[in-house]
Amino acid sequence: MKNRELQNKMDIKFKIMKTNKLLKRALNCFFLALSITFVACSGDEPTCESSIWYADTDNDGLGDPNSTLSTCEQPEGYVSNSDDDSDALGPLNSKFTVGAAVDGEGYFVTTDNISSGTISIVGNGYEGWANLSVSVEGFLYNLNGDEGTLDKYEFTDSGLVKRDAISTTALLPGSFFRYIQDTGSGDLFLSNFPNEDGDAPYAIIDLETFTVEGHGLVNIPDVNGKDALWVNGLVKDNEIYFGSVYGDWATWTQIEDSLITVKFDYPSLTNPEILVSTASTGQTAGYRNNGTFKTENGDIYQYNLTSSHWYGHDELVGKPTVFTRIKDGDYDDYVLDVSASFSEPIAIWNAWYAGNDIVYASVVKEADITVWGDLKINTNTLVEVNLATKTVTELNIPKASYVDIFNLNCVENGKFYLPVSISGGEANIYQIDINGGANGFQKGAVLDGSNVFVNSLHRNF
Amino acid sequence: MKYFFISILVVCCMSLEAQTRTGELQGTIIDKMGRPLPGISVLIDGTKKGAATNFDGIYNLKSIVSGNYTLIVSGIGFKTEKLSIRINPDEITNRDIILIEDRSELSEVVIKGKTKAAKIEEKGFSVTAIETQKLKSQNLGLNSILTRTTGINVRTSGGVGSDYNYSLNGMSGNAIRFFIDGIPMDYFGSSYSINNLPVSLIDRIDIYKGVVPVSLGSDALGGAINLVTNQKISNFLEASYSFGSFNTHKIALHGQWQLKSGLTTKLSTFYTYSDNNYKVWGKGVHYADESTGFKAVEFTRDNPAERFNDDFQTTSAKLDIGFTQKKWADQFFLTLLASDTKKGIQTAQTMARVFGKVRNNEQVIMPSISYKKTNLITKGLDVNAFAGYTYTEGVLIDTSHVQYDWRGMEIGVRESGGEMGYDGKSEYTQKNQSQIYRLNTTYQLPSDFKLGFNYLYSTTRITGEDPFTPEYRIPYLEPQNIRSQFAGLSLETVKFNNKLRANAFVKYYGYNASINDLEYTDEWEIIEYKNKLNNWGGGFAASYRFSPELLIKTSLEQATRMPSPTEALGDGVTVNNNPFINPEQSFNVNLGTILGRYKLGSSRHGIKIAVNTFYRDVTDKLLFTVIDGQGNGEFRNIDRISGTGIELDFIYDFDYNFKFKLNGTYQDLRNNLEFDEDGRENIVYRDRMRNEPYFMANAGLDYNVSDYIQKNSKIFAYLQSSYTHEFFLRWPSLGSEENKSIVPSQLVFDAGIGYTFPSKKFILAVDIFNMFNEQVYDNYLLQKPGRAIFLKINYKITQQ
Repeated sequence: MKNRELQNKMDIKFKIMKTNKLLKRALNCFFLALSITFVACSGDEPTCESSIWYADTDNDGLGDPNSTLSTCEQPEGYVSNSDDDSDALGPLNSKFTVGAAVDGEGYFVTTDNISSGTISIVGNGYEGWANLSVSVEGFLYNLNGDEGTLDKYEFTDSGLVKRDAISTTALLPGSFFRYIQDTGSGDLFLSNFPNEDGDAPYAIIDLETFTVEGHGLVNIPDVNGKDALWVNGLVKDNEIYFGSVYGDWATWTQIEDSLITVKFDYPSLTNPEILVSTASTGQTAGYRNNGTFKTENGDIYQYNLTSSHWYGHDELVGKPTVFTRIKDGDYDDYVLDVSASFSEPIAIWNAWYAGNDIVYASVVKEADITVWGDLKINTNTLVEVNLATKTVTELNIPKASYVDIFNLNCVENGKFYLPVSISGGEANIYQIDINGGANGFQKGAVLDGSNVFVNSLHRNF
Repeated sequence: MKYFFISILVVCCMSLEAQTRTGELQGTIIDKMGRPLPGISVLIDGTKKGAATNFDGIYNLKSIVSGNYTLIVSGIGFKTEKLSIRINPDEITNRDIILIEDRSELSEVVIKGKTKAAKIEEKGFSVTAIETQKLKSQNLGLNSILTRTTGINVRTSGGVGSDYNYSLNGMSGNAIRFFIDGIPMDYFGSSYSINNLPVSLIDRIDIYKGVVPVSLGSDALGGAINLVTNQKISNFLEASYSFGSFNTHKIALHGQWQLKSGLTTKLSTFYTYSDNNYKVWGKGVHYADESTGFKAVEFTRDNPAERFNDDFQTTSAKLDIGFTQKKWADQFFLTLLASDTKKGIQTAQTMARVFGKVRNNEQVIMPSISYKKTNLITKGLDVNAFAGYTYTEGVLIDTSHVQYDWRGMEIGVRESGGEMGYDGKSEYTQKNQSQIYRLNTTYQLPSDFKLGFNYLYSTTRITGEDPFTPEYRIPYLEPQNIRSQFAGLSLETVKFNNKLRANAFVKYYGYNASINDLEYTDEWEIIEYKNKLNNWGGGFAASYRFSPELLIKTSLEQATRMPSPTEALGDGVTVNNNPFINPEQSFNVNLGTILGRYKLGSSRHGIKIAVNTFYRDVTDKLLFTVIDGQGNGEFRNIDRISGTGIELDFIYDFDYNFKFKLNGTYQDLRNNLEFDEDGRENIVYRDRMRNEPYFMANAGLDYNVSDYIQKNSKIFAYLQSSYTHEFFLRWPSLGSEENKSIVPSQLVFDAGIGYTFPSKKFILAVDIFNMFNEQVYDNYLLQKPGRAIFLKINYKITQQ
């Protein structure tokens, strides 16, 4: 009951805010109209050339191309540029979510500023794994292992407020969800990789009603008598594409000698179809984040993880790290050989799509890793991959560890934001100019550093 | 509830005025230090009038014909005292008597356990000794007695037979070792454990904090708890039956028979059953299905869920046959211990996951042999030897295909089966075979010095099997072997007219382990790993009595905990072996003082205060470190913890019969790891330890009443409150305070009353726990039982 009251109050508040905004704009227009009339009427005054002004609601100096005014003088709250691709103003301190892992525990904070100042979890923020959450249209959806629920929180001026919860233990008795994905088409896709029988649990949650649209197990079929060891699905329209790795369950050996994606109808999860690319071999399911992603025009790209440190053996030595493309429902002949840009064996552990055919990837030289822990120190290089021009640019950002970064969904106004935690050094969010070349970046907000590893960064508004 | 208190009060008040019209003799018997002596015999020579002093050293003889008499006061370990008295009609004669220790009987005193608790507390160690005598007939478990003790916090995950964790001055888990009569309890199985043993089998509990004497031969990093069973040679048979809330039944039967030939038989058996079907609600306790749109519907206090797969049943029997009080042995026993435990597993780490069919069963069989002799071969050489073999078979059954929710309803079916495991059904059986040998000797040297030597050798072999799980996922599929040795040497002295007591000791730990691991390189291979470790430790304990009312004591130890077999060698599945592992180390210091008993005004009022401070510095603490992408890892010596704490004990008594007890513990243990395993600065360096209570307090009233309702009857009543201050589940400094997960403060009231019938054969006891039905948690989101009431009937036949 209380919740509902609160919800109503929030709704009203929201409406009032909206009304205020409308009123302000109407008044602005009215006064502008008056002044224009007045100017037009006074033939004595010198006329001026009116220019177009763009609203800067979030006060970041960048204007909203969709909200304009034409006037001679710059009105308050307006700027001359139209560079802002997100002028919406969320509740106080909620524009970004920064997730961190410390000593096996998860914490996260929300903030409006990642370009300067300090972002710290000391005495600040929430407990929980932001990398096991997604943020969609003002709400944060978080997998809560303590209570066995998927919790829905609303960003408000006074912080996150829990609004609702779906029982994941009832949806998936005896198991848990490892991945949570905003499909971009109004629902969430929760999943885990398959068990020994090839059954992978899933659930589909409708965001508007926060109800369960479907759930159960999807059987990932065997390929050439081999088991699907790990999968992660990407929803595109009426289909879902599971990047994968196939091999022998018990030993993680006999890795299938090609790249495999399993396509199902979505949301029915029927009609499995095995898509095969012979461009290389290894895991297309990604490591910490999904290895399969889609671009603005609906093309699907994926990379493969070949590191012998991942498999515990060197079956895949010599196999190239590539980006491949799935177009119109199947692999086409697109291959970008990333290994060819390096003089020694490398592996991509994670990659994040930043829009406009640009991918940022964490590249680690195989020779730099002798034990597993080496991946967590300053052995990772960030490269910018242009899928269209097939160019690979190594950025001069200091080497750090990126392998444990899960969600990195933070692109704004042509900038890609990346947490850089240098072992034994400083930690910052870096602001990278997309397509800006090897040195097109600058340091942003300061992070805690030390053993606080920022493992996710999300733009909420 | 009100009436309950009122009746306790009435009982208290009325009996304070106990009066008699005939000649009567009463008094307190104390030792030189002013400590009350229980169990001392007081006899009027030439008559049949006699009595034994109670726990507080008080005796009372009624209806004595007036006249002059000789009183004979005797007790083992003390010189017999004869004194003249005069009894006047209609008068109460008060005669307090001091008994002098008889050195020649000292060793026997140790065995007999007279005033042992008080004596142990004076030896310099930071030790609390609890005499269980008064509590034996109540419905109390050892856990609940111990958690009321200064410096101890016992956290259980649920009801009867649930998992438990002891914290002693802030150190917990496997830093604390348990012993029964000096033998490590690890080998006795989960039935014969501190969790399940009936109090009636235990005479005394010694709790050593931080510094542990060599007689307890183990690698106790943070302390040790020793349960001392009845060592008295007397013929008796005692039975008790307790029943109450949650369909809980506890039966215990134990007895001892000594024939004139010295042939002695001892039997201790117990059976416990509980449904543990208590009510739970709140966070994590929800249900959801199609009808709710899978929205989580939380159970509430008014509409709670009931636990339904949490039943617990254990049966245990121990039979000793041997000889006592022979020339060649004070005690020689062949012993067979057998136990069987069956329990349901209701939840995982929190109540979010609920299981309907998961079971855990265990059977233990343990034959052993023990020998005890004072003055063996030469005067002053006491020997205590033990040899035993244990076979333990435990099975965790998770084969159900059906899944359950908190309504107890079937909500789904998993084809691969199993409720707990993600990888399908399993039925994992682990078999442990252990041998254990102990030799404990003391030798009285000249000039009041005493040499102590304790040697313990044990071997354990662990194997695992599971018919439903692929071989490469079965822990200990190939056997794991471990051999450990402990040797301790101590030198003890009592000087300056018993004022100074000191004990210095060294300890040696040896460890030899091997495991066969199933590993895949090009094919599955069995690879043998070996590990060998040695370590030395030592310390001392001393006390000095400045006056009968003031004792100061201090102790310190460089303590060690050897890695467990799994920590050192792995489990053959997810835990890898670490050939470079080292023992955990801790430097422990205690400093304390005991004041009292001070008499206030008349000698009837008294107070006693004990204060103890401690320092702990743990280094090389083992931490599981992930070493590959699949989450496998190994234990490494990374963690460090240090800190201080203070404990306070306060007792007020009236005539030793009415007692008000208050104790509190505050500890400030901090993360002392400055750099983590990757060399990065640790942001939570110097943070208070997470998920660890740091302030606990207990307050209680005890009252003993004699001759109320019936002549020669006794009433014992108590009211107890226990408080644990809230603490953070995760690192305190991280996240904003209002958003943090908290294990909430708990304040629980328990009360009980026991009535001993005049024949002394029957005792009836009623206890009520968690009187106000608070929702209590020891662990995060694992709710403990609400109000529970138990009734207990004790019956004892003693034949002297």
